[in-house]
Amino acid sequence: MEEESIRKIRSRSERILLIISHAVLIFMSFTAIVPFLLLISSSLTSEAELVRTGYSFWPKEWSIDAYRYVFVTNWKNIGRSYLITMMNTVIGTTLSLFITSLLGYVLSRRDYNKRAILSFFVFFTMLFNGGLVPTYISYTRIWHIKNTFAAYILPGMLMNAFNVMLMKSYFTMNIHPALIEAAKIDGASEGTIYRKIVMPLSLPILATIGLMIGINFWNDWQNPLYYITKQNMWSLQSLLNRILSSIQTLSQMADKMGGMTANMPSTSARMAIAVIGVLPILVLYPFFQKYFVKGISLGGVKE
Amino acid sequence: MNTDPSKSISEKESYKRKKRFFTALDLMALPGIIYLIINNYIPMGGLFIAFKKIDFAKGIFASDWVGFQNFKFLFRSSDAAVILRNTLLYNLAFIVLNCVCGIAVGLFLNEIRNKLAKKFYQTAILLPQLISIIIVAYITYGFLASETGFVNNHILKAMGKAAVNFYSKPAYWPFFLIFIHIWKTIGYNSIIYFSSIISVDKSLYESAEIDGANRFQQITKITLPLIKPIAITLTLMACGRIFYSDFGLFYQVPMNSGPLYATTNTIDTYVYRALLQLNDIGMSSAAGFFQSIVGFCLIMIVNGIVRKISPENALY
Amino acid sequence: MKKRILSAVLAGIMTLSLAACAAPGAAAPAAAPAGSDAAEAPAASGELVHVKQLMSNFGNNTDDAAEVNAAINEIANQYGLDVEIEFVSSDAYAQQLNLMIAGGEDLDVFMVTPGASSFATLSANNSLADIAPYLDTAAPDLKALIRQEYWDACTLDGRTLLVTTWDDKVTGNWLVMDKTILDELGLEEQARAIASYDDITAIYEKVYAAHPELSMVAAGGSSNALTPSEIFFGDTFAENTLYDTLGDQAYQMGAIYEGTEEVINVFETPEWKKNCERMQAWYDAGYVYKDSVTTTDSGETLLKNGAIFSFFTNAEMNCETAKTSQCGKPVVAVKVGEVPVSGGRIRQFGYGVSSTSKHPDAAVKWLQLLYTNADVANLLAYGIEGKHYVTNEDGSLSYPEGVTMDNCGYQYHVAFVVGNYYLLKIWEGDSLTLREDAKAVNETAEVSKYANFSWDNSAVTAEVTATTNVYNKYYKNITVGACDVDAEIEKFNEELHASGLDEIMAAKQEQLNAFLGK
Repeated sequence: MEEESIRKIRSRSERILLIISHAVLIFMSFTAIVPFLLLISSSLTSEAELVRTGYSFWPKEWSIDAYRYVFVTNWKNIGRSYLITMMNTVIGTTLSLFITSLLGYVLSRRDYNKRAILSFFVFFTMLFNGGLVPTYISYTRIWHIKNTFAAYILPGMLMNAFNVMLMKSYFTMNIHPALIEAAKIDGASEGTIYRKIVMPLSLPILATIGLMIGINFWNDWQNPLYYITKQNMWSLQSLLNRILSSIQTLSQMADKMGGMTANMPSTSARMAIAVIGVLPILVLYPFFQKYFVKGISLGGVKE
Repeated sequence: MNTDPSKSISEKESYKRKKRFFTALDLMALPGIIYLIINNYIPMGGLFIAFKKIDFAKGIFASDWVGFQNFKFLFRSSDAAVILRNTLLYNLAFIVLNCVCGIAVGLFLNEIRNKLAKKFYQTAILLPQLISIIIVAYITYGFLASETGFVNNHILKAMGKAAVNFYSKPAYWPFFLIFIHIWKTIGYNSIIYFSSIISVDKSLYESAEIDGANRFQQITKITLPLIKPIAITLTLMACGRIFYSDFGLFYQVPMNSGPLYATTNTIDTYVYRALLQLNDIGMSSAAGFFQSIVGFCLIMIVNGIVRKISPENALY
Repeated sequence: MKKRILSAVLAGIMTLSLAACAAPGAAAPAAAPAGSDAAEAPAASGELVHVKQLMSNFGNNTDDAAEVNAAINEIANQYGLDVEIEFVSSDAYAQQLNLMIAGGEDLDVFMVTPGASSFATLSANNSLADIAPYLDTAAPDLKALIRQEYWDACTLDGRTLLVTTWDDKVTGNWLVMDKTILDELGLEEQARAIASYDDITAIYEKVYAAHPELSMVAAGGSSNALTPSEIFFGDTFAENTLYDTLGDQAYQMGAIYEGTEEVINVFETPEWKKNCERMQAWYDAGYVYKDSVTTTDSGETLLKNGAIFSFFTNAEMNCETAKTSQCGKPVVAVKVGEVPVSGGRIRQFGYGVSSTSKHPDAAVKWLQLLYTNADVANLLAYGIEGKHYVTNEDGSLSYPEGVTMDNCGYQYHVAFVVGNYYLLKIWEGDSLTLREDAKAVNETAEVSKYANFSWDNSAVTAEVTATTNVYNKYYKNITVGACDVDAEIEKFNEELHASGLDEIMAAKQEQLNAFLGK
């Protein structure tokens, strides 16, 4: 809370720990940022230099050819895929947070009579998976989601047992049953309790899991790979990955295909595409960060 | 289970609720349940494919049953032991390191006072998560390649040492892969623990300080025990995935290099490479089934143990 | 406590069985898909039969596919066909194809390409329909067009499963060299006279002395293998030993010397060992690109950007012109090896009719149209005249004003895969007589004795995957010469045998004997 930052560092142990913390975190930030810088600099390097002398932080031959290629050939596609990806992410994350937290909350309630069965029901899905073919057949034959917007959100993305368990764990630890009892005595319905009491207390976990879900939606390229065949419906990451894995596939094919890869986007273009894919998240993330730092607001329960 | 006398009122009330067919809580859980049925349980029926030899002319349902034949390929290879060993050891290392490093970094983040520094660190360590693994593979290649790699050209050459062909020396790769895995996942991992750490009641620390505990003791005696539940949950869930591996990490990052198989070949990469030619869905289903069964057995055992030690932390 | 577990388990079983019961009803068997397009009624006069074709885009831009499809239909409709062509990104092609067939989706014709969508794989899981009954009635011209030997090679147990591409199947192994460097050192004449490995080494020596920063040769991607399959280089290239891989070109377990009857292990032959030792000598001399085992850049890319001097490749007769345009700079190509047309080669690319198709006769009729109608073929390959290409004075094609390779809306220039190669117009850069020259060579080209042999690996699938694993582990490293070749070859073969190579060879030999009528 606010007081912490103003509170003076009193003990020696705190000081030592602070120094260690800064040191470790600076090192980690460094190792996290450096490859990223390499990514950016390689996207601005000329193709010839990349192939001949490799990646470097300060290339001898600067060139924006990669970005020019990406935007000139694909600007229509990129613009559209940005939009599609943003829509998926926003809608998908909202829906996902909603049903995940609902289920996690219900499972955390110790007075819920079906708790054990439901926990097992949820958890079992983490262990056994029908596999790609049955999932595909189920989604396309029964629910007809192929080439629809739902294909981005539904298969495997909307909710998974891992997040539900995390939510459950958090609620179990932090939402004291007495709080709920008090609300019930006051006559609140389950829905009201959930909305007015549980949600405000859970901002850290909602932000945490919401972030991860959001990143997953943003980065997902597997659903479009199987379910979206219309090119004008591709998301940003699927566009990127199509290009990247096409190169791999073609190079695995027989000798005839060798010549084809000469026409594929160069290494620097691939890096440029990657940078374009990551940029929006980087820009937006600091705005959402405050929810992590916020602790539990007023209304806690004294043990 | 509820033996607390102060809960007797609610017991009566929930007894009343039990009489109703659908409680409000049931309704709230319904969307999730429906989704799991659609997404997970219906396709799960397709696991029988693992026991069939699929003939598309006959269709999936009319194809012949072949018992365990589709499972043979997992064990036939002279490398079968190596593959299983690699998968297991890497996952064990990941489970331990994810937990230890995640908690450690979460604690460090909690110590930082300066808000700006905190924001910066959190953003920075999350960056690797955003980069797709194929790009990570290219960047690694940019560092480690023989002809054009950064390490060989700028570091080793400057030190006067001979160039090392990293992509043909399997001994280095457990370190590389573990490092890259931690590098990529520590951002999110630490945030999960961090959000639990900051939920600990601050007054506990204050009273501990008054009692004379230093910061280290505060952490080990207060924080760690209170985040035990989430650590156990995460570890338990990881146990269920013990025979799965991150395909991108073990296939893409080593650039699919043959000489490195000894330390980078896992079940998933083996199955993928095998089925690149054969594309037999019976076999791939069998592989998935095998991985699931092992994870299932392991979780049953470990969860049973956890249930005996601290029941409220068991997964179900 | 126990009650809870019991109820949990029972609930779990109940859920599972409910799901299992739901599945058969919901996901109807492939033969009778629920709710898919009607078009079941045979084409009464005036009625169009819908034929759906799936193709891999091989990394090319096919944004305007719908337009091209419409133009094709203008012709196809006259034959009672309504064709829908769908392009799938090449990396997803095999997977998509598999899913569409498994899911029983509407699909009639699809491309067969190497990899997971190869003839061997698709015939093993019975995705290919027998089109022999329809050839005489629905596609007599198609039947007459393709050489009988090729039809035979695509026939398994009397069932004709594949319509192979009718193109230049005579490929050779070529050495492609950077012409600018050759000119600089005045070596072009010597290069064109290359007749043996030692000749190549002599050239490399000179080039390396002048350009030590360059690698002489690379095995880029997996397309430029230094030791190609089906050839053992002899002391001179005129003395090459040839072998046939008995089926899949990429899968070399159990091959056979051309003209013999005994299945051998390629990797234990003295010829192969000698080839690899030559490579090791090159590697140790510094000639070989050190990242050959891992690079994803093809030889063409490496040469284009000045990282290497030369590379080997399989190519047809127009190798020099084709590589010149692909590498963006002049090259000299010298043929170093020639193979007869093998079964694997014939079955490498083509079109198959899906075994789940509802009207295979219409599908075959469409294929005949594709293979015999020049307008349709050129539409599919090059797009719409005026928009995607223009015709030059000499009859060759090129991009229209303002259109380049990067922004052309449709450029499926994969000529050898569009059915009938000989119908296609020439893109500028290639020799204008290319089609005639190729035809002349192909009509009399030698077809391997084992072309019609294709083996059934269902009894040894486990061994196949195990040996593939060993192959992937050692092959590239050894053939690039980046290790102690003799020691590695020994280890390689040891593990091959431990992974069931003997069972595979025995199975192949048995089937081969039956094939040869022994």
